[in-house]
Amino acid sequence: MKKMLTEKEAVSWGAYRSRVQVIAASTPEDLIVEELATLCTEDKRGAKFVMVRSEQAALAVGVGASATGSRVFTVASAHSLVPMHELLYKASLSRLPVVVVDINRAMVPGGLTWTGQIDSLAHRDTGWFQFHCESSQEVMDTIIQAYRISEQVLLPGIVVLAASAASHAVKPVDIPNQKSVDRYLKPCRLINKLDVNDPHSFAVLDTPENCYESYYKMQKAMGKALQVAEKADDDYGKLFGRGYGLVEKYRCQGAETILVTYGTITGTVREVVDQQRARGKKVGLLKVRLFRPFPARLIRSALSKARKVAVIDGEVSPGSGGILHQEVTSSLFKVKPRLKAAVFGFVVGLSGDDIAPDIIQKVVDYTTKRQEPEEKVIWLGVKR
Amino acid sequence: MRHVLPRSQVQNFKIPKMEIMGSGHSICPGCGISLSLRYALKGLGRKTILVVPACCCSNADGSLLYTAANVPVFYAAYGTAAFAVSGIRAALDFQGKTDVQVVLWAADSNNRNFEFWTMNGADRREENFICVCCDDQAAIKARFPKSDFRGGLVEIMAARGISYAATASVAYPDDFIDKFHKAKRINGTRLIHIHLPCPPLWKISANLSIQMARLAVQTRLFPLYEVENGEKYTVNVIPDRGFPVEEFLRPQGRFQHLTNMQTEVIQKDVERNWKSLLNRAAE
Amino acid sequence: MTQKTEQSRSPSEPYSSPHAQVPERHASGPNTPFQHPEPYFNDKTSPCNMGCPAGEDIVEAIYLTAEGRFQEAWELILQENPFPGVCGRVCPHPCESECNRRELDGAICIHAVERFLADYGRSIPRSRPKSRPQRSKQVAIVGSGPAGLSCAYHLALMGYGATVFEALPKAGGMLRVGIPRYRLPRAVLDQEIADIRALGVEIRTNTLVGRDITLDQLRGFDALFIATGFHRGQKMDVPGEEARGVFSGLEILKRVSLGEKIRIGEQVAVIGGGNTAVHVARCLLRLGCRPTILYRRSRGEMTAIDKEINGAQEEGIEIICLAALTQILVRGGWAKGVEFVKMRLSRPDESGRRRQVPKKGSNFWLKVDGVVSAIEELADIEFLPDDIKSESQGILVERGCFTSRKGVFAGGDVATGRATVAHAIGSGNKAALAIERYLKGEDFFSIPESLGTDQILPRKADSGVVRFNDLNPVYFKKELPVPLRARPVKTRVKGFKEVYSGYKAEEIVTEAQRCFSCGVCNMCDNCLIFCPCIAISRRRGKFGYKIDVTSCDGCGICVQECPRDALSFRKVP
Repeated sequence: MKKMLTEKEAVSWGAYRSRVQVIAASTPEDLIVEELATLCTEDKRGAKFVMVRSEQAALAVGVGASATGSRVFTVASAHSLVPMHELLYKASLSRLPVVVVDINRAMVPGGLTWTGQIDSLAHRDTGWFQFHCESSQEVMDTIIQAYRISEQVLLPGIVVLAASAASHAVKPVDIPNQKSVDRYLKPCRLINKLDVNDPHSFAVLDTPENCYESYYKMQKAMGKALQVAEKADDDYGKLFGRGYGLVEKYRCQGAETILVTYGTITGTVREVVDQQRARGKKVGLLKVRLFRPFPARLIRSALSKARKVAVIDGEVSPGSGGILHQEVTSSLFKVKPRLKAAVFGFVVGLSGDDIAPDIIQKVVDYTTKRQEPEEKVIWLGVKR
Repeated sequence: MRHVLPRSQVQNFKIPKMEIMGSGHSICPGCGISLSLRYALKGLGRKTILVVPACCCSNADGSLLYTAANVPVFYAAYGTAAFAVSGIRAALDFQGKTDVQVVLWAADSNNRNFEFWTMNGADRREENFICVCCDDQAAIKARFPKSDFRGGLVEIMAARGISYAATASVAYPDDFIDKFHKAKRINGTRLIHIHLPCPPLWKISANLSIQMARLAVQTRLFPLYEVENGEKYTVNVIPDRGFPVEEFLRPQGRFQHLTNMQTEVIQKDVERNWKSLLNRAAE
Repeated sequence: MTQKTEQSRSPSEPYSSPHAQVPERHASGPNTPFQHPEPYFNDKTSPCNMGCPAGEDIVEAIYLTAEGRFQEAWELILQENPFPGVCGRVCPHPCESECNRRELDGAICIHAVERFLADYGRSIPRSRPKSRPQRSKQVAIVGSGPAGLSCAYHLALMGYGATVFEALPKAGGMLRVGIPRYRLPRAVLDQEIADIRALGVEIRTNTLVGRDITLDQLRGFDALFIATGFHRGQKMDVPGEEARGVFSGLEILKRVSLGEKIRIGEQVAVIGGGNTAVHVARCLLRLGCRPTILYRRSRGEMTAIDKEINGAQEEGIEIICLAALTQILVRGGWAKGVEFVKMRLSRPDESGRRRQVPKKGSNFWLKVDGVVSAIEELADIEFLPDDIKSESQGILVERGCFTSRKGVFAGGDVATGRATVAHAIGSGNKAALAIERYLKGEDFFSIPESLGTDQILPRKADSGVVRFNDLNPVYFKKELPVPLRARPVKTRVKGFKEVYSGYKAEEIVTEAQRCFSCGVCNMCDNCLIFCPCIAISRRRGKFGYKIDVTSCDGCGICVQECPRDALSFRKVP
């Protein structure tokens, strides 16, 4: 079934097809929840909606419901994801399969309108897996995949889509039918949950040694999540004809320079790569879809033949550099054989500033001119 | 040692023999939390899920997945317990387990203050749960504690017209259990405000905690009463004699600084409250 | 005895009534999980048990009664006291004066329970305690009063042969001839003596030792127990005492008891303030006389039991206190009047005591037809040989019952001085214990010294007696004791029927349930209910609780909240 949907509506459909049971939400994401409510009401599934005053509260509701064994859906964005911070740990260390859709927004002092990825990237250490999506279609598909991964490895996940740029754009979306989705995504069955017939406690303040162990097991689960995610995407591809991979190699064949990026920037970069290829320049694109757990092995192999790598970051960690840049560099040099490629880091279009193709063009030009990267971060399109 | 088992026991309290809570928790000696939890579970039965915010109870009940309460316990983050309650309630309702009670167990008075507004929100959502606020009167410490003795919590929630609001004390286990038993059969937001002896905070020896809790009721400082639908007041325990509040204040190390004049002010306050409570009950 | 052992209360604070105690500032120390003291169940001695001269286990008997187990309770009393029916009626119950419940709402009516149990025991088929295998040793007992008979009873239970010599035609001693029938129906006494006889005790009545048989003739017995009591009236030392119409109180009571006739006028002055005086007056009233009691001291100093004095006053007997007899007016050989002088109380002397001094010119006369001298009786011990040391008050004994001659023991009033029936029974009990040891050839010094005290040993030698301050009184609600029911004065003065009526089973159970059960666990569940650690649990199918010390955090609430002080704390090494 194909429909013209805004990205927000795509989110609603994704959650709806995943048969979510408890929806915890607060006001800023009303469009998604409204659409979802409409869908659920028509369907008479009896999904429970809990409307609360803040996102912290929303995730608290979600965590509670998930601990009781329900499939939970929550939405957040920037200034509303950040108050969840404590609860993010609560969910991950309690190993609750909560899925949060984050409408990516920049952290700016004046409010919550512009696009940016810092809200989700800043939470990379909370133990949640993170998908950064490029399009409405991908968002909807990823939500369904995220539930499967989450419930298999017992880790919560964030599905990220860019605010404004993507969320309000209307695009055709192919909605899979419910039967096939049900075949792909089995009902949520947790072994440990709040069950009066098998009483256990959740999220107890425990001894340091037990907490240490929890972190160790979470890290192990992250390792497993990588494989599970790969398999989930493969299966999805086989069933619905759409696979995305954890990373996507776009025209990397024989590429000397590979641009690495994530999220909605990818669309623009893709176009620039096409232009470059049309001019006969050996430029490719590597899109990082799964940011946590970071698919270092896949990235290493994708970049193994490249001479130069340009990482285009939409966010910066002040005092260090581009966030994706750090991750890519460290994954290239972590194990032998260490790759010899020169890795350039660029910061573009922070806080929703426009990332026009000419900025990406500058990236390509800059990388082509220089043999070795500089120490400092390269800011493009910034007003100095 | 006797050998003849008593048939007609001369019991001071008629309470259910069923014991849900087990031993092995790490709650401080003499603390009222474990007793109140134990009594509450006797009243509520096994079909209960506890939600405990960050408070004295959060590290006391068990380790890893294990719990001394012997019912599922969920430890909520600071200030989010009422939301976790909503989530659990929603999930249970979705699963059709409407007979399971969700109980918010805020086990010290920090939480009384901190969870209060979240509870307010839950009430606005018309959430179906029992909110238990254990009050160790931590706020009444340094200075002149007149107003802090007022059991404002029940009054505020009663004014909002919640279906059931009551006070309870661990020194009166039968009344305590009755109230939980009653609350269990009512729908909607229910509040039970528990007076909780805290030996280290009150600076009393651990063995005196029940006695002090009893004196709080007997001095009418913490009256035991209930309010149904914000209207029907019932005073459950009317002390035989009006002990002066000094009986409650003087043994506690934390009140050593009180002057006679201050004690008198508290006494007057207590009497006024008691009178107005009786008036409301008589209406 | 009232001092508590170290470990009997919480480590920091002793309990006291909520009014009095202000614990020291911040008394609670950090109770680390590894060093806290440990509570344990520690039964202590109840004050009633401590107060019973006959050594009955009162607290247990009351517990059994409260449980409706009347027969067991009765048999328990019989283990110590062969006269529950008698004691339930005539014992002045020192146990009740000790009862902690007095501080709340009035002592438990222990005598009512005892009387009920005895009446109950008489109404069911006999199942008296079986005596032990017979032993060859024989004991002679002089005097069949409560001391002599209870000694015989216990010796018989232990398997020894006991022969009791009684001067009067019927056994019972003072119980028979000193206590009128309206207080102690003869059927009760006869039954209880018959029960003792049924154990194989031989009672030879009409055998006065010293006249019908000499003490030396009793040498054939392996031991001898003398309990002859106080049966000799005292002279008043006033002019006219020798006149006709002047009787001794004991003589009156004896004749009334044995059914002999007395010639005495209508208006009778009874001189004295003890039980004998009151008994005589009430007996004479029942015989149609109009007695007046005259006593030289104040009303508060009358040694008679209060209940009896009140009964006499109810019946219309006038009691004139602070009136000392000065002479008896004799006309034609008969006493026709008495002269008294009024006394007043002096200012307290150094010891604080107020003496009576005659008021000058306050003499007054009473016109009477008879005079009864009911002042203190004395021991009649002229039959004793010299080697058994004695003084005017009675036989000298060591450690309660050992006389100066080996193998001869003494007990009851004649050895311990004037006392109650319960004291006499206790004395007999202790003598039986001492005689048994003697017969086994044990050393004199192996007999515990406490046998010489007024009390039987406390049941638990290591723990003290529980007093009211040791209890947690908040758990006891006020309930009035079962009322005493007397027959109306009009009917009761017409004959010698018992004045006080018995009790119904329900009344007695309710009364027994009032018992605090001081120091002895009665499974009220308080400790279990208030244990924050759920460390206390009931023992399956057995009495009492067990404490899981590994779960216990030593908070001490169980010790504090135990209403009856049946728990204690001990330090863990």
